[in-house]
Amino acid sequence: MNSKFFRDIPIISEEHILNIFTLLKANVVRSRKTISVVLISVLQQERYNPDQQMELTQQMYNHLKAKLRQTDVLFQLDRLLEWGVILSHSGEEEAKAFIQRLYEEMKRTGVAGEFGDPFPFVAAIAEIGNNDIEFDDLMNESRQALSEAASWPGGPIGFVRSGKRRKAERIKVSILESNEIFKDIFRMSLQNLRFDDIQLDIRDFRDGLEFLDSDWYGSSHTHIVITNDILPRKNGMEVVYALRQMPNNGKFIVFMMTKRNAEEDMIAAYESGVDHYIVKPFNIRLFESQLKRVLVRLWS
Amino acid sequence: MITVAIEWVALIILLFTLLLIGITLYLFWSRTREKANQHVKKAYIEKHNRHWYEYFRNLAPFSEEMVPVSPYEIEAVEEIFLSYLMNVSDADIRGKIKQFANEHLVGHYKRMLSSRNWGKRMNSLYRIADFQIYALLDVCEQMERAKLSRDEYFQLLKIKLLFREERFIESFLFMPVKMSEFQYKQYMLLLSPSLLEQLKQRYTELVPECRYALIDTIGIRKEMDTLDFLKACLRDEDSEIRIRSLKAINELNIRIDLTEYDSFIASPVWEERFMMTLLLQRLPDEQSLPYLEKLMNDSSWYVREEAGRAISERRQRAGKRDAEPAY
Repeated sequence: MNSKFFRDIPIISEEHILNIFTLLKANVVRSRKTISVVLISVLQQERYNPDQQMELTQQMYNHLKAKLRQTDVLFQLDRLLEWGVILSHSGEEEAKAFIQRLYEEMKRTGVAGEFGDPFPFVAAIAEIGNNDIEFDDLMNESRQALSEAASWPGGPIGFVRSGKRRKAERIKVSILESNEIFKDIFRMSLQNLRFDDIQLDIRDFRDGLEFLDSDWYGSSHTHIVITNDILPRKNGMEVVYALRQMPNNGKFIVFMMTKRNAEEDMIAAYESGVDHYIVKPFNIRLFESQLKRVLVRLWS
Repeated sequence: MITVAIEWVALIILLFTLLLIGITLYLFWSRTREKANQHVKKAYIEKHNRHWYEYFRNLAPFSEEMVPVSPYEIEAVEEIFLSYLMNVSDADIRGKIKQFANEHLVGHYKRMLSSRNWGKRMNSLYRIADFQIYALLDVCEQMERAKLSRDEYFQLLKIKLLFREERFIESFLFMPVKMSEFQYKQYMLLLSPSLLEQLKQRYTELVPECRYALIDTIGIRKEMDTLDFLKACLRDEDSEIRIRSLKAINELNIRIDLTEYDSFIASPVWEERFMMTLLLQRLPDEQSLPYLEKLMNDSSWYVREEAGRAISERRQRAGKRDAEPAY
């Protein structure tokens, strides 16, 4: 690989970054963690002679390496005085804060004054939330955003939003409740919840046996199980035991509804694999808020 | 030998056959009617469950279509309401159920209250409490004067406690029927602090089962300001009162003044000595160990077992303390 190492962060050449970007992009949806691609470019490059350009490049690398984490990727672009960074597990806001910190650091260390005040660089940030965008398109859009940011008096950062939109994710929801009326109440409550990038696929079951006999819980989708503790045939705890025995049991998020509010019961439920313990009667708005929070936290 | 004419035998067989046909037809008709009624109930739930949900969640206004018109539709509404009350605590939803019941279900439950069928009267009383139908409180109070079963009186008094608590104490003290300890305890758990205080002040007027329930409830509710009352109960002649008072004091999780309790260590009642082994565990080792060691030789296995367990725990704690490095 045509890359050189400086401290611990390797600098990848533009021709090799494509493979790394493809790998990281594919992992975005599976891990539900966004990445951000940042392009940094020096304005009015013609002002600098070749020696100054070399010096400026070295200074920028030093500062970038000081700010980057081991999980981030620094890459060199074919154009002079342009750099690229892929920030893993980071969204637009984290990338923006990263640029601000970089700018503050360069001002503090006097690099800005050395090459002109204010230090003339702009950045383009592209948050990646799906795996549809191609690297070349991303680079073109980022360069477009760089040139817009350069002419915009509001600030030195431009944003690329085409790769940010997440694909609607299908999440399975199972309601295990023997009371038909309350089961319908739950279904209506869930159907009224609105999410931009989540599609809830809801099914209900009369008891644990009907649920476990179905092939509904076998797929790899994230699966929210809302179960009563007392059910005919197989009860809620038996369902939890069965689900937690499965090899991919991490996909299940279990809400247990019960009338038992003793601390010992709660401890036993949590230790058996329940994620959220809801004592009946409960506030339905509070439950909806808890569920929303769980779904929002899937992408972090 | 008795001889019966064949005509008579034929007549009896005919009558029996007609009777059986009549009964069969009645059962068939009755079953068909019941199925039709259940169908009405199910149809109402299927049609209106969503409407009720939207009304309760402020997603749609109330519609007159939702008002039940037959007893079976009322049963359907009851089922919907009870599903919410058992599972959902939203004050807004509970308020809407109460409002609807007071506006539209009063006549139905009033008729049921005057029914000669005990089951119907009981169901009505349960629903009045569940749906908080205060519009029928006066009718309920009038019922108290009639001859009632224990269960009806229990439910009537519960309704009074829920909606007209200022009149509860007098009715409770002078109730014409005797409740079980379990029923007394159900009242106690619903009492407000001021009513509980009033009941304590009139403790001597209570029957023993009610006294037991009161003392147990104080322990369950961990009412700290009742310690003096419980201490006074320790002087009662009834050993059951003394045992339950010691148990309630133990529930308060406080450190006792041993001089007030040491007589119970040598009590002839093993349950009192057992309770003392529990209370002693809240004291420092130097105070409790001599007594616990004495209780290790108690005549009761339960007392010896508890005292032994307490001593063993203390020794383990002391061992750990000694094993810790002194920095």
